[in-house]
Amino acid sequence: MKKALALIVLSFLFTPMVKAQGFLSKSEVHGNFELDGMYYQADDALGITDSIINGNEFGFNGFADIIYTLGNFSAGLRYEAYLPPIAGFDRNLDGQGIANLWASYTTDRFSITIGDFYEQFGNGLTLRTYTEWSLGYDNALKGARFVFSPIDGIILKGVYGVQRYFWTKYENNNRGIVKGFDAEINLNDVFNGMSDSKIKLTLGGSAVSKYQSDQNPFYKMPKNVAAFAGRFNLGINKFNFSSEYAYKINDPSAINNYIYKPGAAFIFSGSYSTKGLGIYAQFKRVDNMSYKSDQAVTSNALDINFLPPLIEAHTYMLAAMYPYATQPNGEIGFQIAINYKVPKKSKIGGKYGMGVSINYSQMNNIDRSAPNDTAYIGQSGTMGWNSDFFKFGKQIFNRDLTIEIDKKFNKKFKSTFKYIYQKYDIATIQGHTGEPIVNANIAIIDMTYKLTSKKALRWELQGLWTKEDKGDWAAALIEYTVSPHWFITIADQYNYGNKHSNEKIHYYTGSFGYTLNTMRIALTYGRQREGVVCVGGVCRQVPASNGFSLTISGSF
Amino acid sequence: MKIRYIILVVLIFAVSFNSCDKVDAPFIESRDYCNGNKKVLIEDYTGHGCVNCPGAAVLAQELKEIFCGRAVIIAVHAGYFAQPDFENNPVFAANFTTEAGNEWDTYFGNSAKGNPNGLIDRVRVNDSYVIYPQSWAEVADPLLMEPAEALLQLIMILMLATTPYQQI
Repeated sequence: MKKALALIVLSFLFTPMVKAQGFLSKSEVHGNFELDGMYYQADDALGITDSIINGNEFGFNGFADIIYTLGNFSAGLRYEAYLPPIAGFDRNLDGQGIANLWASYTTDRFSITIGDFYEQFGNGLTLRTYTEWSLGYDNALKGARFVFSPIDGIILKGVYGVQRYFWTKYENNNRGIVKGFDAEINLNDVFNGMSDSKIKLTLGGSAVSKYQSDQNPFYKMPKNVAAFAGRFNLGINKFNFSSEYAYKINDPSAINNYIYKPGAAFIFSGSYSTKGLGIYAQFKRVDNMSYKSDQAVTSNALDINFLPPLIEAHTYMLAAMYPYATQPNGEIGFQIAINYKVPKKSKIGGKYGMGVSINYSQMNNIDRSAPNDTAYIGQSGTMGWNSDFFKFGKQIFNRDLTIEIDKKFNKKFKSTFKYIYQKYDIATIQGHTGEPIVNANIAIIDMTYKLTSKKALRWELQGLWTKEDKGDWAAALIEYTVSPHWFITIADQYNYGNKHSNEKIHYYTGSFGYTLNTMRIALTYGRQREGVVCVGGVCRQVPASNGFSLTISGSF
Repeated sequence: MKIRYIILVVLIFAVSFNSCDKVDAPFIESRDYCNGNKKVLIEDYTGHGCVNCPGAAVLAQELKEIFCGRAVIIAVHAGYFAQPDFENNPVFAANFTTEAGNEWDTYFGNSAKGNPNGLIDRVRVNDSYVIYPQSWAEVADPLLMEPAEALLQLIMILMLATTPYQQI
């Protein structure tokens, strides 16, 4: 692959038609990078001793993307280093080198890419490759991608390759080979009679297959596992509806305990939007839809598809304590969100108006029954279970009610008030077997006061009250910003309600940073509480730690 | 012209449908592990604070049964999850770690990669000794197909005519 890339690059570099001067003037190099360093300290209160650190005082994650473009041609590489990975990142990341290498040629009608690439079909139910730095996640496909648009409104895509698995080289079918095809047609663009219609309709479909040799000594494994999906997006004036249904044939794996039931996923969303009001509703059902290019892998790697989350993603310190992780073996739920802008100069809205948003989401287990009289639910080597499509299981994985009010009081002072109720099955989602379901009430006040046109003071007050897990928490943050360069932040999370007196710990942090154009540097000292970080329903565990962290990032 | 593209798309989807292997029951392959003399060593790296580790221990026992007793299992308590926690939880007060287990854990890097995991006959797979439970059977299977490099047997024979018993 590297030789082929080099050949393509060289062929473009030495094309006689391109004169040196024109070549240089038309070339562009762009990129971005991030370096995250961590220095660990022993901390008796967190139970971190020198023997646990065991000399591993430093963690380092870093990457740099370099992209070269010349007209329709572009090529790039991504260097990554985990020396060693920061605590909480998969230890298989340990190492450094060129993680991604690619070259692409794109015109108005087609595009071809060889090397490592990212792609998504529809909502990703059959295929989505992406990278998420904060999770240490990268499931890029290495191979070839072809995109063809024969006429306006039709897009055809084809992909073929193997996925990245940390630093492990593909050889001897040690993971599956993925091939996929996607077609999308925008009827308003294709048919002249619909070009001015108020009804906007897009249809799409995809088919993906993986090939992996049968290496399992106990089960008859399918060598080729395919998944198919159909989707539409319909816009009618202020309404918009979209849906996708995906189906996967038998795919026994370590994730589903080697059952042979076909998988299915369905999402449907509708929205209405007008001035000052937005309403959004979504329904989702997933049944045995983990789809990896290695059936033996259970970690966050080698996912061919992506099951989009339906729960509101919280970013405030305490609100993010119980994040939801998508349950690929089965979940069913819905979300309703209403955003309303109280008009300016009204009695409630005042001079500047007021934003009100309400978000309710719930995710249950799917209803299951035994596949036959002689097998139990989920028994390996069977069809796994039977399940009614629209029937909710009794087990609630997550329930979230969020009410938010944004209010600007005057030119200098604005505030956000937030109340959140969460019901969280910590045993299922975080693997804390035997622990009761967490019922938490969370309140947040976020206020910003502009001292001058460039200087601002922002502070947060947060409280989380629960009888379960680690009990009650309080948190405060104060941040002083001098735009556009400097910021300094001090924060503390205090677990004052912990039933163990020695675990009533302050998780204090202090950080400051400097930004210059696209470059940013931030230094933080303090404690990191144990927990889970989730992005898009994909999560990683974060252990408690104490020490310094340094982040340098930028783009050019 | 548009018809041509529709036919193309239909053809590609038709080819895609051929990329499926539907497996019919029975799904479990019967394999005779009782014919053979080699045993495999399963080292289960665990810790009493590790919520997913009991499942791995159960799996190891199941594998021993499936392998017709030709697996030898040892549990190695080492790493963060194996640390005793006297103050907060009496259930986790016991210290099951050993000097040898800690040394193995440091050398092979088991707990650093996240428990539960283990070693199967200390063979390397994809440049790593550490093997996660879902791959234990896959790694052990070909090893059990090999003949034992050495076979030690202890047989008691009662020789009534000479001495009370004799070891061979």
